[in-house]
Formats: sequence, structure tokens, C-alpha cells
Amino acid sequence: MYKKKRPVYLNLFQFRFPVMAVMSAGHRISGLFLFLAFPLVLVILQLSLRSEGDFAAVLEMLSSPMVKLLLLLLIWSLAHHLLAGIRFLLIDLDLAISRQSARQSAWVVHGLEVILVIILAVTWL
Amino acid sequence: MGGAWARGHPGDYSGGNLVMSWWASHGLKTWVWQRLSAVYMGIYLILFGITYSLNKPYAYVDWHAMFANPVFSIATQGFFLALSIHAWVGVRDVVFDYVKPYPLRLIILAAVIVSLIFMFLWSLRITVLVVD
Repeated sequence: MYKKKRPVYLNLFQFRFPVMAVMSAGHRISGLFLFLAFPLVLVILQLSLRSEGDFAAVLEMLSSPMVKLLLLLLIWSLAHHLLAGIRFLLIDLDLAISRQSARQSAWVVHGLEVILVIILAVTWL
Repeated sequence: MGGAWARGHPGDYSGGNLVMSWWASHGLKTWVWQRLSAVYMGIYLILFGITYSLNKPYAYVDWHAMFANPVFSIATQGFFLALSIHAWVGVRDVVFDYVKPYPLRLIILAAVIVSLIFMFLWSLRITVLVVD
């Protein structure tokens, strides 16, 4: 057994990232962000259901620009994670696994996610 | 030993009575749970969107009534159960990838699982307390 000191190159600024890599990294990051937002979602849900006054307080809190920004990030995370996740499920079913179709499906995901975020943001914010 | 030994045990590479040895099937089971919970949540979110659009719960009364509906309430509880399972598998994978020292990994995973259990129990409380 010998342990060669293998060369390591981790200068992220000099990597070329194909679109599938960006999508996959976004999937992981959005997942972590949604996990951290879980308690926040529960607090908002609980307050909105507790009483009339609390519901009004929640609506008022949601109208502040800072909170709207956070909500936009949440919606974007959810949209990306959901659409990228569906793409991964399709890949599990051996659909669009070639390099070309994987690139195409990754771009489709990015396009759909922008549309989805715009739709959700306009209706909810 | 009987049944446990026939099912496949750590170190059993003969396949036992299952497709793969019991020890090796853990990864597959986890993967299946992640996919199942994801599919349920996807379907729930679509149905939530439809329900929201139909009920238009912009006032407290309507919002409260939507969650008081027993079918919607139970479906929502299922959503949070699926979310807890899905989040556990996902975060566990991330921790495995980036946290190399075993003691730190153990502490972080324990904290994650405890907090997810609390999140789920909290979501049960929220949904159960909504009655008309």
C-alpha cells in the first residue's frame, strides 16, 4: 500500500461549468436553503391559522420589502429544486441521459423555472 | 437464528431471500424513500395550487376553513411527513459528502434528525389544532 500525494486542483474560478453542473449545484444549494427555511415556514403557517389578528399580522409582515425578498428567494429555491428534481427523476427512468439531451433538459429546467418564479411571484407577492 | 439468518445478514453475499443482501439494501431503500416522498410532495403542491385557486382564501375565514377540511388537513400532514423524510435523506447525503471527520458527522446528523422530528411534530400540532 502506498499513498501517493495526488495532485489537487481546486481553483473554482478556473473551472468550466457545464449547465448541468450549475443546475445540480443549484439543486443542492436550494435544498439546503429550503431545509433551513422549514421552521420559518412552520412559524408563518402557525401564526396565519391561529387567529384573525395573527393572520392580519402575518399579511402585514409579508408586505415589507425585506420579507418579500426573502420570500422571492424561497419561491426561486422551491421552483428550482422541484423542476431540477423532476429532471433527475426522469433521468432515473433513463430518459434524456445522453449528453446532448441532458444539456437540453437542463436548459429547459432553467427556462421553466424562470417562468414559474415569475408566475408565483406575481400572484403571491 | 432462524429467520434473521435466512433474510441476509451483514457479510452475506449469497443474496438471501431478497434481491440483495440486507446490509446492501439500505442505500436502495433510502433512495426509494427520497423519490417516493418527492413524488408525493410534487402531487400535493399541484393539488394545493388548484385548491388555492378555487377557494381564493384571501381572508382569514376562508384560509382557516381550507385547513379545517379533514381531507386537506391529512394531506398536509402527509406533506410534512414526506418533507421530513425527504429533507433527512438530502441533508444526510450532503453531510456525508462534505463532513469527513466521523465524530463531527455524527453530531451534525444527530442534530439534523432531532430537529426534523421536532419540525414534523410541530407541523402535526399546527394542522391538528385547526378545527371548525
